[in-house]
Amino acid sequence: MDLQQKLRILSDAAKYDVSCASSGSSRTAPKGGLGATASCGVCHSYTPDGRCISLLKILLTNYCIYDCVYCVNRVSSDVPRARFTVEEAVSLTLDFYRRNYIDGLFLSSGIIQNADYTMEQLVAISRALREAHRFGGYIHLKAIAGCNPDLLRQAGQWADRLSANIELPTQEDLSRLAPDKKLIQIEGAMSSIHHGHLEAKAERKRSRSAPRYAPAGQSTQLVVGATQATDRQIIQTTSRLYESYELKRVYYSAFSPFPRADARLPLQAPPLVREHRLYQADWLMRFYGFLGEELTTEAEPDFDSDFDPKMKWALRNRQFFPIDINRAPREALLRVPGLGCRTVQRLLGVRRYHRVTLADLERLRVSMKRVRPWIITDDWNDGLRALDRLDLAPLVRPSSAQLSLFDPATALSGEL
Amino acid sequence: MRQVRIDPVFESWQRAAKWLLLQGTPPHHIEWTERGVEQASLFAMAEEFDSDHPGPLAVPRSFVDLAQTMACHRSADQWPLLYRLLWRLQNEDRNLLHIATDPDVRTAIELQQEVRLDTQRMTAFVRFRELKSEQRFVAWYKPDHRVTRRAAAMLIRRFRSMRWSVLTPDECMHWDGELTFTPGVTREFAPTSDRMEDLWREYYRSTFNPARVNEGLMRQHMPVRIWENLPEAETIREAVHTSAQRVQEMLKEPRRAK
Repeated sequence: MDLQQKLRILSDAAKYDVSCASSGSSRTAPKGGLGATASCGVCHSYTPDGRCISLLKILLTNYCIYDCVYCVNRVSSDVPRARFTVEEAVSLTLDFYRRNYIDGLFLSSGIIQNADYTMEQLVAISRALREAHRFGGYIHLKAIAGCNPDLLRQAGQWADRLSANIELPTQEDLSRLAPDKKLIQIEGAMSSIHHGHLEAKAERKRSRSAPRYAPAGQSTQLVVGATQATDRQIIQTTSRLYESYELKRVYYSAFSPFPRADARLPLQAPPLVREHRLYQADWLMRFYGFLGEELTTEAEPDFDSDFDPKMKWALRNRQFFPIDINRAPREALLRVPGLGCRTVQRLLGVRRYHRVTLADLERLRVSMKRVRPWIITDDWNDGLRALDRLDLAPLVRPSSAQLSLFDPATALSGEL
Repeated sequence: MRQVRIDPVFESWQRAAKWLLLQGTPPHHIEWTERGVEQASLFAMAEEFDSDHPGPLAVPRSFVDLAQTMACHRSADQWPLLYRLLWRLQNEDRNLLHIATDPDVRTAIELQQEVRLDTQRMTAFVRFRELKSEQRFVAWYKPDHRVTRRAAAMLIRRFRSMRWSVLTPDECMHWDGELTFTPGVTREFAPTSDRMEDLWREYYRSTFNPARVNEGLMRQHMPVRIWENLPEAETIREAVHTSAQRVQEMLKEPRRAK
């Protein structure tokens, strides 16, 4: 099999991992080496699904001993199989990097022989890149759940980011669809990575020259819509992960039909708007000061396809409003529907020097329809009246045209 | 009305602006024109300020950053706007730049963002091709604004150990352990292929998910005018056209019951 065929099989098999970030790290290659990373990564291309390419995302191999139902590479699937040699994976990365196609490598793998052997192979490739080729670009390594923690310690030495995928939100879901995977093992890997990070941080306090450990932190991914789990359950799981292991990111991947699928899977992909709402909720937890549990209720455990989670929260918590734009603290402004992080930052700057009016908000491109019921400005105090209206929801509902044009990237830019 | 002629670079504008400010010339009394683009007869009387500037002028650090970035914009609208901002900073409000709702400040921020975006795009979409005979990697790129020098720092960080050139219509930059510049050239001077491009196209085709086509979103991030620079772009049409069919085929395949 030639290199081109291998590349086709092993990048096709890797594409269901949606993370492609090359940010959050800062390193330069040692003298004579190649590449650098910066705190904000570079997207070098975009594919027709609108997603960016910043890394060469490949599997070392798509042979796998596991039989996870939702995965295209499970042992019972009859997809064509391939395996890169260490040299092939290394030289592809370097050759692509030199031409400015990519920021680095995202390397994952099917499980061959056992977890330890597989992880050893991934570590060998990253080590060859860093040591033999003095590569300073970005490396994202998959942490194979169940492998020896010592291998994860080594991996963190070479990689910028490590990720162990949680895959499904609950142990019941895993038992049903991924019989070889255990939540406790996956979280075990996350915990090892977290420890590695804490230890390295303590070391660096003692000595500035102590090595870093996966400086871009760890992330994870879960598949949405392959099981019956509610958005509330998903958000419960992710907020627990953020708290316990200080994850940098959780990626949500709407289940997407793939070749030779198992009959236990849904035929249809879930609407992309569900994935979009989860990303919005994720941003609200990380940057807007919301707690995971505030975003849904027992009675309404799923997000609304018509309203973003912040608007939904506002409609349920009218007693919190109206918010005076000229007086309220930052935390309160962040809870106003229609005011994104960046807008709030600008408003805080502006109001030190002059009183904010509705016209000012319009100049900052805030949607009047969304924001007006919730606020007071010097020239607008109708908020109180609007808040008592039983028909407030339809008044702030985005028009259907906006909805159909919705764009998953707004969830990634995080302005809500 | 004073007609003022400058080179379209920050330093030239800065020199003129300092003299004009010193002489108390209000913004609406100045017509700015860029050297090289004006019609001779119209601007025969234009003033030039080539002598040394009249000493330091206290402005907020953030204004210098803003002005240096905006100076790279190709619209030529930035020169009067910059002078108006400078005038207002001196005579009206030292904190002007914090007031993001001010129309002048807002326009300035928009121009600044356009230049920043274009700089990012240049560092992202430059595609090197190997010139084996010269042991050099060469790329052609046509930036929207004059951002070639702004993009240099990032390219040097990444490719310090390589010898490379980026050719643009404005100017060409070359890295051989130090950075040098030569006049701009046309596209024909750049190599037209590279041995890795077939593999790169293969990767591009394989890494996208046909079940989630969103061409509009792709174009928003990667405008069509940039495609001519990207070896992978020739596969986009085919990928979009065949994706619906690929999904249908997936769904038709026999599903395996356990």
